[in-house]
Amino acid sequence: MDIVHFRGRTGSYLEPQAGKPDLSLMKMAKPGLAFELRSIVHHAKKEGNSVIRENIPIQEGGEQRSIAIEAIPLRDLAEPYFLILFHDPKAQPHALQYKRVERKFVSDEDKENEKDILINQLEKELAQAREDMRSITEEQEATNEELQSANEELQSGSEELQTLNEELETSKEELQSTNEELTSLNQELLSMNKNLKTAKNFAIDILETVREPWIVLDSLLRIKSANNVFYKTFRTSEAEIENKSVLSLGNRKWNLPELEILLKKVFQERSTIKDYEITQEFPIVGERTMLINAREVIREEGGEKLILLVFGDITDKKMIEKSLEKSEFRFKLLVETIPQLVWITDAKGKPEFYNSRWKSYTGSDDTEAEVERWLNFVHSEDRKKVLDHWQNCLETGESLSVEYRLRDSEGNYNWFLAKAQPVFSTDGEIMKWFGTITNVQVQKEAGNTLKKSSEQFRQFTELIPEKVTNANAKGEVNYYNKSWEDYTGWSQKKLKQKGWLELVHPDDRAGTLKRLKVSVEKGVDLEIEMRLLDRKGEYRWHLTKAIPIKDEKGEVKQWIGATTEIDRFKEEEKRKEGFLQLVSHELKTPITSIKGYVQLLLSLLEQKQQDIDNLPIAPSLKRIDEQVTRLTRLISEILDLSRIEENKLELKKKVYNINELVEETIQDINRTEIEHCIELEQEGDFDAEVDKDRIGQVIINLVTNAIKYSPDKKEVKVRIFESGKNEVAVSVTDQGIGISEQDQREIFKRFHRVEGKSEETYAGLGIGLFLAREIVERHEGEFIVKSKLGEGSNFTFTLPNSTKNQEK
Amino acid sequence: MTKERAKILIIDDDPAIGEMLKTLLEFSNYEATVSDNPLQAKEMILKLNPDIVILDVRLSGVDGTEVCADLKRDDKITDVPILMMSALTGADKTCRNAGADGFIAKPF
Repeated sequence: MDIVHFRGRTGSYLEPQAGKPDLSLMKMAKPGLAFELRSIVHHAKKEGNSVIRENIPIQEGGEQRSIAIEAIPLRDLAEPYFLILFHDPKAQPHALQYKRVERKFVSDEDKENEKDILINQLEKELAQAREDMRSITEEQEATNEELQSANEELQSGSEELQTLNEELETSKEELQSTNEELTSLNQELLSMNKNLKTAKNFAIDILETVREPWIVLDSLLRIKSANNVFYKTFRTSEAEIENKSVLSLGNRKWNLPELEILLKKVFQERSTIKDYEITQEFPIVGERTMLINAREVIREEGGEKLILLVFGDITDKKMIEKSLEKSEFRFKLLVETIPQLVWITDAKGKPEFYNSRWKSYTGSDDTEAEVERWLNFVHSEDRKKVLDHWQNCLETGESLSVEYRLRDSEGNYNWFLAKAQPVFSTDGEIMKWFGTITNVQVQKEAGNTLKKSSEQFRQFTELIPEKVTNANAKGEVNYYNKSWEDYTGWSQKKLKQKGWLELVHPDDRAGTLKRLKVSVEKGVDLEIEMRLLDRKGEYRWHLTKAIPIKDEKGEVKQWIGATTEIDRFKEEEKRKEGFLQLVSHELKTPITSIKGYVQLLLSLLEQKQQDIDNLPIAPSLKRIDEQVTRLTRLISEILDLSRIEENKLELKKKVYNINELVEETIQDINRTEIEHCIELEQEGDFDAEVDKDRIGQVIINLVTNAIKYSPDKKEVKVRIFESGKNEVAVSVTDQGIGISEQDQREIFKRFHRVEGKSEETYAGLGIGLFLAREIVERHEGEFIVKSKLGEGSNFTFTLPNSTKNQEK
Repeated sequence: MTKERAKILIIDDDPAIGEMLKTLLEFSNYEATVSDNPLQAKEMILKLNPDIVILDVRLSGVDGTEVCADLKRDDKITDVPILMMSALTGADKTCRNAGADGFIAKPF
């Protein structure tokens, strides 16, 4: 309720408040009037008519008077105004003062003011005022509520307004940007148009300079234009082809229905011909393969539809392709036929190809294998090694070479050697990796077998009593087996340090070295006899044999040597040597004797003057006979010996009475005129299954030995007795030179003879005892000797009884 | 009158040889004595004073060459020629080394 216009002097009724200027009617109203004014305006507003109230008291300059206030609502105006009139009797007559209080007019007219009327009026007014107040308050409350809700509405309204505002803002912004876009699009369009124009011009320029032959056809497929290249390529000219149908080119060779259809389609459907391949025999140029590309072009002026046909000569390319195909075919053939497993990967190691052998070996199917999936076929123990190698190769570009076990389709593992090479492009970059995997199981097994057999060899050499050595190609020994250590008493280290040559007898050393040198140089087998020093400091005869081990080229890689102790053999050799000498001598002696007598007789007979009776024919012949017997015996002994050597000694066994056999034999010996006396003691009667002659031999041997070796004491005792269960024993005892303990072991050896000062001492072959024991043992008997040096000897042999004896 | 027969001493342990030689030599008009004991060789030579001694290389218990050498060392006997016999053809060297004056190989 603000005042909008003042007219006249309203100072008596209205007064500005202290502070900020406020035109509110109620605030400006002087005290006492505010209440009235309010009431009046309220009623005016409510009733819509002017309302006047009179006798309103005011105080001014000590005086009191009554005025009337009128409120008149002004209706014809656009907005509700009120005219507030102050009727004041004191008002200056010449000044009409109108006051617009909230578009209220105020005029002061009457100056009538009486105290009573005033009081009455005041009382009336008071009552009225109270009522007014009440209604006003009510209205105020209602208005307040309305205001409140109106406020709320306003609030929400204003909120909505706010959001609407914001939306409006965003829309505005969007609009703005859209506008901008549009603007820029427009610009683009403009520039594109421009570009198009230039491009078109440019294209035309290009076409003119392009290397490919092209022609432009009209809708009837007639050639409208062509470039120079076309003329040149097809050896034709503008005059020849212009306006001619394209199908008539090359003497109608181009008249291909397919081409025609395609060209027509370009016009009808605006399609394009892309890479249409034709191979034609062209006049002059020969057969060529062409790729035709065609599209519609529109000439700007006139909008005429045209086709641009571009030709690409791919004849050469085709040839290259063919040869590539061929080489690829050959490659595939190679890759599929070789026994290796083949694979190809890209530069990063991703598999691109496996040959069929790879697939059939692993049982892997055709599906794409990721980089690591092939690793699954590798033995788990080898995987890390393989992966490390492969990674290294991928990084460094070095070629791959690695051995590993690969699993086959049945789950078995075989050893393979994988080798791979990178393939480089022309700029030196790695494009692919080519790899082959070769089955080396056999080699590995062979290697293992070799290793195994090598180990077995070692084990073997350690066990056998032979001394075994291993030497390099130069003959330098790098291995001595255990037997060497045992024999020499040296450690392996010492043996290697000093070498076996140190152990060779000084007399044999030169010869050994020489033979060794020859063998090493020529690569031939070595065989040497030499004496080696043993741990006790004695030299013993050995036979060393060494053979070279050669490789495939025939070069010596190493030597294997075996050294055998032949001391015994040597000994026996010596004995044999001595034996042969002996044999020779023993045989020659009776022969000499025989020859002597024969020669004697012959020469005596020649002499003729001799009396036949004087000739000692009988005694000579007798001697001869004796000697022949002796010879015969000797020879048969030798034969026996050789038979024993070859295990061919045959025994013809029959049951004989031993006692009789011994008696007979002794009688025979006695007949040979010996000086000795042979005594026979028989403690029982025995039978046995024997070879009579052989056992006879044994007895003869023992007895003659007894005689031979007791030259001083002439008694020999023979005894037959039972020894043990089912055994008969025959013993021969003499009082001769006896046999030392050491010799007791030796006497049964072949060729052994009791030593005297030299080896050729006692007559006889020295095979007697050896034979005798053999014979006894073949009869399953035993041979026992008891003797003491200087106290005679006792030789006893036993024979198993025959059952007949038991019954006796 | 018969010429005095040359005396030959045969030292051999094998009677087959000894006897045969004796018979042979006696028929050839030599006086031959056989001894089978090489240890008594010196004694016998001194006693008998033979013109020649036939000595076998192989004697029981004794090496003939040693006997020969032994005899030759003795001044009294050294002049007596000693002929050695052996069944070994190669033994003549050893015999000669031992001082034998001759060698004969059996059988002869």
